[in-house]
Amino acid sequence: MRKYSFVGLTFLISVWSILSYGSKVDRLLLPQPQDVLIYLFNGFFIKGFFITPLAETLKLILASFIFGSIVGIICGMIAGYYEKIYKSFELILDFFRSLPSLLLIPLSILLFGIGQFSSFFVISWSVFVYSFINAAYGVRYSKTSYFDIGKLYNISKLQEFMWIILPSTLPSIFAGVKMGFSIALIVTIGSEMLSGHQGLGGRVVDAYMVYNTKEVFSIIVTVGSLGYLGSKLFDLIESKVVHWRGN
Amino acid sequence: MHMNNYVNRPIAIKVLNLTKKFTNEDYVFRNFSLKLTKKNTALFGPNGCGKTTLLRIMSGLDKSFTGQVIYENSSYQKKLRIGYAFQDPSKFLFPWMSAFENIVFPLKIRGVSKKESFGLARNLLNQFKLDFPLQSYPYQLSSGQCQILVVLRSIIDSPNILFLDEPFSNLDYLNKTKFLFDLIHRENNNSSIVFVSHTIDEGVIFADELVLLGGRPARVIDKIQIPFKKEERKPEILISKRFMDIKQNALKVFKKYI
Repeated sequence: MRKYSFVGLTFLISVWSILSYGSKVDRLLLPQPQDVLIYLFNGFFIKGFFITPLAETLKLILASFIFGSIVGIICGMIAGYYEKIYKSFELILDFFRSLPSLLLIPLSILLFGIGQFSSFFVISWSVFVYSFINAAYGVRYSKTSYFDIGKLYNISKLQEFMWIILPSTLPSIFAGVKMGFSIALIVTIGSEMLSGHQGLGGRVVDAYMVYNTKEVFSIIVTVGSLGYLGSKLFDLIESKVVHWRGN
Repeated sequence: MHMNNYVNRPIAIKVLNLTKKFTNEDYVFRNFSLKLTKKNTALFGPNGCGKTTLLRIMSGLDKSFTGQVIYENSSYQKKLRIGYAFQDPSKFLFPWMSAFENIVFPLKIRGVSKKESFGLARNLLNQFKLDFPLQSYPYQLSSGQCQILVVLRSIIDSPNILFLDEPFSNLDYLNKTKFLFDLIHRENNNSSIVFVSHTIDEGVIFADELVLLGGRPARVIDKIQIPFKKEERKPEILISKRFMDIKQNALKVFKKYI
């Protein structure tokens, strides 16, 4: 089936080429594919002006994604285990889940000032919400039948947690982590755009102000690839760790 | 194996004045009493008459009832071992554990070493002449194989009482009967067995007493003694006249209530 994905890619590049080689569209607004490719190559391998922004973005996304996920999973599992905690926080969590995270950036800048920390805070928070909810759901709805098996043999609380609750919650945790990564990417780029941070998001704002469309296109391709590779990587890890899922 | 205070022998169970009701429903049991000897018992009854509920109560899995469950002379004893083969293997096998890990789960809880567990599991497979891919996961096995896994897990611990809730419904007749005979004649068989079934043959092969349940709230409608001795219970009895006579007699009794 993989060969079919080339059909779509070829189609996209063909349309892009036809439009940009024709005379109807201004070259300044729509650069030709090979120019973007050369620009990308230049930016990463020759002159290297994309390396620092990419590194900045990666640093920010990874730090907040890992932090938000870990805290979210731990808190989520605790909340899922103790019904009362879950019920107490259900309302505010649902509220913040419905809230676009980018809306929190101005507040975060006010609180923490312009800089990486305010971005880190907002990204971690949005990742936290997803991993928290999924971990909590996973624990709450782990099959009661699994607990019966342990009960027969007087299983201890610790054994129950390690051998039953944790593995049965893993598929749900993974779903939350995957969602968290896509959200982290969105919020990272968005917060960089808003706070003028020198990551890829900051660069794209600078580029569009001076009509540097080659750079805008290059960054779109870079961020898109980042998201794509990230989600493929998670799919791969998931199929190994949660091998029973979907079977 | 950790044998502290553990007595490896069959145990008699009494259920006294059991009353059980699910929310917004009729009584499943109302002042229900049943005495089970140390021998093997097969429970019969129409769907939904409370057989599984009774097994869950007797095994201590369900504690929301009034009345008493007495093991031998005392109420639930932690020292006793209980085996339970659940009806639906898709709900009662851990999908993240291999066949081997599922079978030896009771031993793992008691802290038996992996090596010793492996020996015990191998020994069980040999006794039942099963050729089982122990590394495979439940989703790679057939539903019949999964049922066998559930049963093997329920006996690996040499329980005092073994509850079997329609454990062979996904097996064909031949494998089912073979498995039953192997179960009766397995090494260290020191369990009293309570068996829920839908087929008379299984009951006659296996049990010393058939108990027919029915009605709502459920009551014991009749009891039939099966006079076979343990050593007589071999595949040959299936074609013996005695087997046919006993089965026919049981069917006659059952027919009165249909």
